[in-house]
Amino acid sequence: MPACAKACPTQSIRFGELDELRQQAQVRVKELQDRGYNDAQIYDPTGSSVGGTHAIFVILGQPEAYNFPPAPEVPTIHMKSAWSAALLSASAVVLVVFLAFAL
Amino acid sequence: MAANPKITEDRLEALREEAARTGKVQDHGIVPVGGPFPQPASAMSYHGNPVLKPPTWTWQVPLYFFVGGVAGISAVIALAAHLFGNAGLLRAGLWVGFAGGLISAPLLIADLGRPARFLNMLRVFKLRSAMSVGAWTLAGFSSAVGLAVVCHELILAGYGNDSLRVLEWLAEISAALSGLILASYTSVLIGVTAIPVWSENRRLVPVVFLAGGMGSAAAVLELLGFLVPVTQFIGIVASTVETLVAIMIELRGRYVDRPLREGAVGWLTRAGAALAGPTSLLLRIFWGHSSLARYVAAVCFIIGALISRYAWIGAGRVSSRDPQALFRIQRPGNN
Repeated sequence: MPACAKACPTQSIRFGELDELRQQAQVRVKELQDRGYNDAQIYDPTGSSVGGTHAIFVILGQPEAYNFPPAPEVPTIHMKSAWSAALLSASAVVLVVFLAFAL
Repeated sequence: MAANPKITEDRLEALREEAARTGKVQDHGIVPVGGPFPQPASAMSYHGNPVLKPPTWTWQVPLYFFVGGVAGISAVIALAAHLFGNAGLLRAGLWVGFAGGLISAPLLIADLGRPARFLNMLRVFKLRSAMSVGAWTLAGFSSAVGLAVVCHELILAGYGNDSLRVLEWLAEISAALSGLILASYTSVLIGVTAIPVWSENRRLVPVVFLAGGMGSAAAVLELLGFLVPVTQFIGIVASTVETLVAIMIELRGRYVDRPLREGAVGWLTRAGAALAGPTSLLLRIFWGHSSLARYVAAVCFIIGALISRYAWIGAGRVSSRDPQALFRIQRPGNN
């Protein structure tokens, strides 16, 4: 267990199995919401191409306020569109160069 | 703060009493001012700190982007010249491509800090990494164009035979194909990152880089004395594209494109676009018959395209520092 998690007097930092931690986070958020903190939520982007982060957070308010990307994506999912644009442009270059000689 | 009745010791006392009485507090507590807690609506980033790390590329990288573009498209022009029987442009195009390849490799290696790292880059080939594809493309292009130059010069020196001619064709075709990748992969390299201004322009940057490479290759050939209709035509098309792209960036007015329009980098972008776009275009169209004007147009385009490479990398650096640019593209409807 990391020292920070061991030493944390309020158990704000926790370490353990992800499934357990997720469950604890849900319980905690429920608890906070019952106390009137309606904007309490879990930051855990498992649904995106990132497939989750190394740590999950119980936060109040929007993820942006903590500099968490609200909907992170792995940049390489754009590989196809970038290469397609490059291929299209390269074809246009070939066309222009050949036209230049043909005209 | 005393003006706000909610944030007082009395209010805290009332909350404590409520907690003791009912075991539960229904209302919000006090938002501590200056504490490390987010202020709900107003704080939409963590004290404006950047979310992303800035790109660490040194000055060699944009220069390599430029030289690689010139070299790659020169090989394409050389192949076309060969097909259309233009001996002068064939030889010049091959040599420009060869020289560009020779300059590119040291630039790419120099930015790694330790030269031996380049060998590590050639240890693996990963299609999912534009950088890996690029390192291999540069190696392949340099070999192909080098071989083409050797074959071509041997044939010119009178050692030509059929197998050498076939080899020259094969080398030229490989050089032209890898040249197209060499001139365009750099745009994919920056487009497929988390940097907002690059990522959101991933379909536009290939157009910019390839048009810049094409126009610069023609301009370099013009400066070598080829003031022929071929280079004029290529130059006009490239400058038109540069102009249209610049107009598009200005008119679209997207938040994510702000580094391309505002501040020092914005003006660098505009300066590059003005030189490679309208300046070069007008010189070619109205004074195309004058060789001096064409030399000036060629120099303008080369400087403009070079500035534009630095501007795009600089824009990425500015964009990486702006948390809002990242948040906006991840919250659709905010652009």
